[in-house]
Amino acid sequence: MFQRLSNLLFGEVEEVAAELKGPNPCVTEADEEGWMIVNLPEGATAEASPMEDLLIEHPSMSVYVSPSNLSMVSNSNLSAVAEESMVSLGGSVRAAEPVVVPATHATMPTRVSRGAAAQAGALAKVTQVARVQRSKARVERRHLGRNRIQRQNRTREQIPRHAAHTRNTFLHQPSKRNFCH
Amino acid sequence: MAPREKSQPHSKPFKLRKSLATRKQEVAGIRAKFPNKVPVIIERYDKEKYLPPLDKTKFLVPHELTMTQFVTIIRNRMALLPSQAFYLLINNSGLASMSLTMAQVYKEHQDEDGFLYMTYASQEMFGR
Repeated sequence: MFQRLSNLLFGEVEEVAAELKGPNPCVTEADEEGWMIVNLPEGATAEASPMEDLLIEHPSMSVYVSPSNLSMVSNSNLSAVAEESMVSLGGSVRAAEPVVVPATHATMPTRVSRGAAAQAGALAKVTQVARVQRSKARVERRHLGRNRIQRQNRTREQIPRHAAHTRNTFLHQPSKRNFCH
Repeated sequence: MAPREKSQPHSKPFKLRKSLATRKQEVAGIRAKFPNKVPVIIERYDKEKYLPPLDKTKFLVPHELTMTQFVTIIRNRMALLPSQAFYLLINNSGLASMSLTMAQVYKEHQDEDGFLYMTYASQEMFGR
């Protein structure tokens, strides 16, 4: 009974997790008549944080941690313990039955609804691609800002001067650092 | 990386290897089969000395992929080091904004045959 219950619980959890991972977790390329087919990378190349944040922050995406889930697990554990103790007593197994059966009935619908919620979350992620791309573009624009590029050019210009200086003199003196990695 | 002197499988560019009619037919066929992908031809710049040739020239790319992602995919395919420069030139003339999606680039720069032609080089060129 307990095994069936745990299978029901944990087997389904695994299923949901696999669903979340999606069919192609990374850039997959297929070959067809000389064509290289590039599929949309799912999370692998979009390692930019927005996606990750969505994944972490959205409560409906979390499979393992949620108040309803926790209470369910503790419930089933309790009922299992109760059942075992009843069995060891040998007398009132019948009394344990009604405790466990409602628990299984209770888990089924919430499981299903949780799966649906996870799917909705994945859907939301897909529809937010445009937003993520816009934020990426914004970051890129900042990286390519005028001041930034000027600073980079300045450091690049300073290298030869420094090199010439060290070539002429034997003594190597510590100089200002040109790079900050 | 040392320049490769190996004889390339295709010395002539794709556009000269096939007639306009053949290319048009090919685009029509593949677009019917994959309506949500963009047909792209990627070739090496003919005077390129440092970048290796690609094993494939014809790519099918999803609409919503950005140029950045696409460049990353090509770079990974060639196993380029982060220190190696790589530029993707559109229509053998200029650079596109890296934040554009493939659909946008395709709309702007597709050829009369329906392909999107790109050339890669280790230097960006200003005019030829």
